[in-house]
Amino acid sequence: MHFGVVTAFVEAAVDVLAQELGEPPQAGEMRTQRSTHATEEVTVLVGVTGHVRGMVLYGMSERTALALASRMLGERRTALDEIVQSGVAELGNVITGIAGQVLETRGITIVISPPALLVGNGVTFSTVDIRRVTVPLVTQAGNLAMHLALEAASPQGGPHRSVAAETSALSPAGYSATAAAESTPAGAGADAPR
Amino acid sequence: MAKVLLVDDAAFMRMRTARLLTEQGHEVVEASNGREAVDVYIDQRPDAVLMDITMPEMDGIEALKAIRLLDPDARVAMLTAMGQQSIVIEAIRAGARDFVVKPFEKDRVLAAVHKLLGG
Repeated sequence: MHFGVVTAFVEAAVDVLAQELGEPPQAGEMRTQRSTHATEEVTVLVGVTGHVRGMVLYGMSERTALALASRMLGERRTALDEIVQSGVAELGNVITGIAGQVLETRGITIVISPPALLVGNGVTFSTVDIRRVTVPLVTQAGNLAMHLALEAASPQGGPHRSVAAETSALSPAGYSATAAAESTPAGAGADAPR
Repeated sequence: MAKVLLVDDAAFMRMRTARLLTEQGHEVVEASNGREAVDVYIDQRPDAVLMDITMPEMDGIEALKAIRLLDPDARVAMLTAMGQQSIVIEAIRAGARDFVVKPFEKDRVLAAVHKLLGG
């Protein structure tokens, strides 16, 4: 079930980015991490509750944010203004929403919160005991890193099980999951700061 | 052409969708959350409403219910990334006449507005 959660998000990201950009992204090597997370220059955060709970983060450089918004709007954007911030936040919202639809077909229901945006790289925060799965996404507009800090909610009140823990136990065809005990540098999986 | 109330907390989506509708000759009024949508609906009495669901303060389903209480003939379509079956059913039961899932095709949004206007 838990690997199904990860693939649902990858499928959603590929579908949404393909529709918005006209070409599907390439999903890079998937990693799992338990360390504190350092944000990229622009990070979209979407909370998830339901059968699976936690948060999903979409990290990217400012350059990628501008390029994504420009492509989605059909006009060149040069400043990280309200419209650009809103555009990349909406992108994270839509990917997470579509993942929710995919998960529903697998018997998993989630509810998502309105997206929040963190601007400024190197802000560290912890997802506490939830291991993260990080999926790099390479697009024409630049690179994104999708971080899934999710765990299955236990209906009996028993211990929760992180998606990453299950994912690293199940090495899927086409993806490789690498457990990383140590912190990953800020921007890993996304563009390096300009 | 019609007056369309566009409700979305994302300024980007309002800009993008408003541009599409005004290109078709529609007048667009906007709201950034459900509570504001109810106020604008009372003030502007639009011909059709395109409503996001996940919004702060008041979500789109609650706003839909509030608007339908004020005007049982209100013509509302949901325009959202939340396309789970349970949410679609809840919206239809609350009176939504159409449900468009983001990311949307331009033609799908225009078809929804056309449908709301009785076309």
